[in-house]
Amino acid sequence: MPEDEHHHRDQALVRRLMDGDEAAFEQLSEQCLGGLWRFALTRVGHDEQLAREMFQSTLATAFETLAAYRGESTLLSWLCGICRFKVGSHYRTRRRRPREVDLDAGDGLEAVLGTLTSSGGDPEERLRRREMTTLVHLALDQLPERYGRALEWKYLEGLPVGEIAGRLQVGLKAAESILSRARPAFRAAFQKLHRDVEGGYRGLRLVTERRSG
Amino acid sequence: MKEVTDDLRSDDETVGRVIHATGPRPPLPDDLREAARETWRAKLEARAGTPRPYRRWSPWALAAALLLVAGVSAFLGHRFGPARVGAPPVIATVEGLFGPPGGTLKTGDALSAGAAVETGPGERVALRLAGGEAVRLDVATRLELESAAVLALRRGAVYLDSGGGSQGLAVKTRFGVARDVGTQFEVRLLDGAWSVQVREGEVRLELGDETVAAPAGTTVTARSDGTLERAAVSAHGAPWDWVLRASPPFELEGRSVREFLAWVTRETGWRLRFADPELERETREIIAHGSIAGLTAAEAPEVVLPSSGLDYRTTGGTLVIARAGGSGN
Repeated sequence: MPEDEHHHRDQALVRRLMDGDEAAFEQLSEQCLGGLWRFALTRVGHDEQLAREMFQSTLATAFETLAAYRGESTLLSWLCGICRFKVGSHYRTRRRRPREVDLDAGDGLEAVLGTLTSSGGDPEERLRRREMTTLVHLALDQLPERYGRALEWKYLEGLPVGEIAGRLQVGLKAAESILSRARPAFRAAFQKLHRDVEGGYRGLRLVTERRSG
Repeated sequence: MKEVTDDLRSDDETVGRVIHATGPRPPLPDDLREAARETWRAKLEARAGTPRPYRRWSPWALAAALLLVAGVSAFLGHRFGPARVGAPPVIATVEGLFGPPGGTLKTGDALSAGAAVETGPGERVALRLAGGEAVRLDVATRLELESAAVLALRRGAVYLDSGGGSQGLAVKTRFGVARDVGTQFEVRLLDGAWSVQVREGEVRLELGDETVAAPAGTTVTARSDGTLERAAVSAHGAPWDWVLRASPPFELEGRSVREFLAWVTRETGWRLRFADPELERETREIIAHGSIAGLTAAEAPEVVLPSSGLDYRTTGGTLVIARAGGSGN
């Protein structure tokens, strides 16, 4: 599904949420809330209590301002933007920051794989592994839903392409095509998140990046 | 060619191994999902429990009944389905509502020709006309949208920003017509008079057979007895405070700091200056993420600029941008 269609779909979902459609809440839950939760966890250095607070505060604001959502980004990105702001405000108010983790393995997946599969047992190493794991999950969250699912079915459940095609309700060729587009999309999403989260850990209320090129 | 194929295969394999190594994504805890559902329901109920509509839709002229029916058709079309064929064209959308909750208008509502918007005490509304012009209604105002080019002010005050690309937008009052010439200005109804306060560009006041020019930095007050008064007005500060408070939030996510600064200066009337000319180019390359909802254009720099490695000060209506701590960031 092209990006614009995702945005239109999300706008339609928001309209249904505003109309009080219970099925729309289920769709929101399925489509966005898990991703938002994982995003909140990452932003607060896996402080679960604080992540809960940020998650709930984000949704309270989001449900109050649903009409402001214009579909310029995906609904999940919009929610994560609010969450990022909440977390930034939290740390700014309390003048403290989450523990900084040096993610200097780089944003190349090969280096990340090294970190993920290392058996180092020191606390810093374990923390870095956890951060990397969460970033991988967040990158999957950022992908179009069926890209993320197709990758998980293939690489976590080990399903053959034919079965993935069945689950996606598409033909074999289409499933292969989805997988071949999903992999570079995953790599790009991971690299963007890696840079973004590093910025976020500097305790800023807003995260900025520099446009490349 | 073979090397490329091998690289791609290796790339696919790495992605697969990374995903495999991290295991399944942890699910959202059930209690949080239920808490989210409760929050959603509570917000819905709070909206539904609104005591009274305070922004009313009404006809404005002789053909009131017909226009109202057509207007309501378009309004319902927006809320519940596509607009009916033959409905008056949409000439404005609601960009922001400010003040106590309630009323029948919602952000994003489409307004057709013939619609009227009213604000009560403490309420302000931001509209965007089909031509792109920004319109703000101050408290206790009634504005009728005759067309995308003609607005009728019945009471209160309205602010227009045609973004420099004027199509000759007119604001009618019972005393005369104010016509913009690529500008930002306010029209206010007073007791037995009306005033036009010009922030940028020029406005022409049509007073019967006479046309009077009001350039930027002036307020012209025209009384019903035919007398005119001119006074100087600053492009920023107190005369425009209410406009800032009726400004729709800037959607910061993914926008450059330069775009953000353009919004700030447009809304505040401040001039923009960079302590170092190179900084202007840099601000085009710094992309901001997050939300500044709830902050006015005057407040937002305090949040956005430090997080972008920038410092600022305002001096005599000029916003001066510098590097934070004199560093290159």
